Amino acid sequence: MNYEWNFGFLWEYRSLILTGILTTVGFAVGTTILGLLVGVVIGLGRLIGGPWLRLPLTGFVELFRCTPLLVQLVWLYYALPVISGVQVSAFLAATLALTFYASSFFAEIFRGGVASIDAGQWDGARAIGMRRLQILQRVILPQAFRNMLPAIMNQSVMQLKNTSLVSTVAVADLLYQGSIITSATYRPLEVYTLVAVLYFLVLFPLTRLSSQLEKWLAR
Amino acid sequence: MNVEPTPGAAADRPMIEVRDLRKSFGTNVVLRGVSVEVQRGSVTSLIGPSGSGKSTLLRCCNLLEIPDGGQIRLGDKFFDFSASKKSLSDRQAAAYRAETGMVFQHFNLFPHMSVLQNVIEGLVTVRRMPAKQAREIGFEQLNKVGMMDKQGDYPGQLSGGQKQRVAIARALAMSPEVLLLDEVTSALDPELVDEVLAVIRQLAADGMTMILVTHEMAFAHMVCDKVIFIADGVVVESGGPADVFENAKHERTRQFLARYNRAGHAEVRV
Repeated sequence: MNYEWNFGFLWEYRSLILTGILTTVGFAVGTTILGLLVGVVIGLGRLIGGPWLRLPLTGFVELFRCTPLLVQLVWLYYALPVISGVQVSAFLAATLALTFYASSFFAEIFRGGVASIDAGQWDGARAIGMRRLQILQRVILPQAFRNMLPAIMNQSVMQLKNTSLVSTVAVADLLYQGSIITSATYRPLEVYTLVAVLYFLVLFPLTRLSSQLEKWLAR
Repeated sequence: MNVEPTPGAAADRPMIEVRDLRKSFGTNVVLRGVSVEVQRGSVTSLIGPSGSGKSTLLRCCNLLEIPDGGQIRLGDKFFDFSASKKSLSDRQAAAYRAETGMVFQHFNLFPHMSVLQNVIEGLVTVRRMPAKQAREIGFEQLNKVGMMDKQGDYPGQLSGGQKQRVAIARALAMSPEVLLLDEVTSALDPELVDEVLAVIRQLAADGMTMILVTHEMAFAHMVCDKVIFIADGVVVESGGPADVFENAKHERTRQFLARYNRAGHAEVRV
């Protein structure tokens, strides 16, 4: 093997790569926040709603947890327009798929966090006359949130990597820009090495931060 | 399910009347028709073997468990569970619980709140009392249990006995009509038991109506006005401490007490 590595040509494509990074980070941050919001709403609904609410919500969570994100993405982009008659843009399909997928995991993290709190905390709060929502808000969720944080951080890191799948529906994220540059230059080794390094450079500080956070929480 | 005030002339009536109370968990029948009366200002202890239903009875008195049948009257609040228990709302049950204090074996303090915040949480959140007024009541109750100097600490920094005294202050802050104590010294190291018992003895002297579930007989003998022996979900025998502890009429009671005497429980616990 005497492949001659040459990264110099990539400098020409710097603006393409930069838009790719911004798109990837933008999708990751946006759909993580949306997914958290939807996940918490689902979690609360499953916690305090009747069976008429719990069942469909659990169905939603399981549907998105038990199918691959890539399949969801392709289905929302190609099949949904056929069923609904409404044209779905790649951007919208990617946003919906990433949001729903993340929300189903966040809803499970939320459920687990609430379940991790000792039943005695409910007893103690009920005994002084607190009502269900008051107990959740004042006693259970503040403690459960601490327990949820590491899992939320972990899922957010996964979310950023999962955004690479949107390149399959031609959303111009970091991976998609890499494939464009590759087809123009025929130098996939350099291109994908750079893409991998860039993903790493974005995520490594985040995983460091999350392990610092865990140490701080464990005090 | 009825929640209705009963007519007056309450002076000579018992403060608490429990009638024919029934409770099952799945196929496990825990209470098979229990009736209990408690006079205002008296101290009643529930004794009996593990699994006899005494803790469940106490939790039913606070509606932490909703009975399957029977009636409970506390003061002028009356609940009839013979009909449908579904119609007892979260709001009704919560309002009732705010009037009945309960202290647990494992304290159940809120670990993310300071001692003072624990004590005034019910006043601020349930009674919507201004913080300043709530703090004054909090200080008063912490003084009563001798925990004033720990008001800023968190439960994790306290010993078991201190935690339990804070839990008692938290229940007292709501000025409950009755205090229910569920094996409140069972989780404590022996040397920490006395400080909690001293608080309970003082409350009894102040005229607080109390029902306590206990495994330790000497304290019950000393402090209680009435002792109720429960086994297999029914009241076997009840009376003054001398009647039950020294002249038990039922063989079942005598066997139960004999086991305690043989074990030579020198320590006094609730």
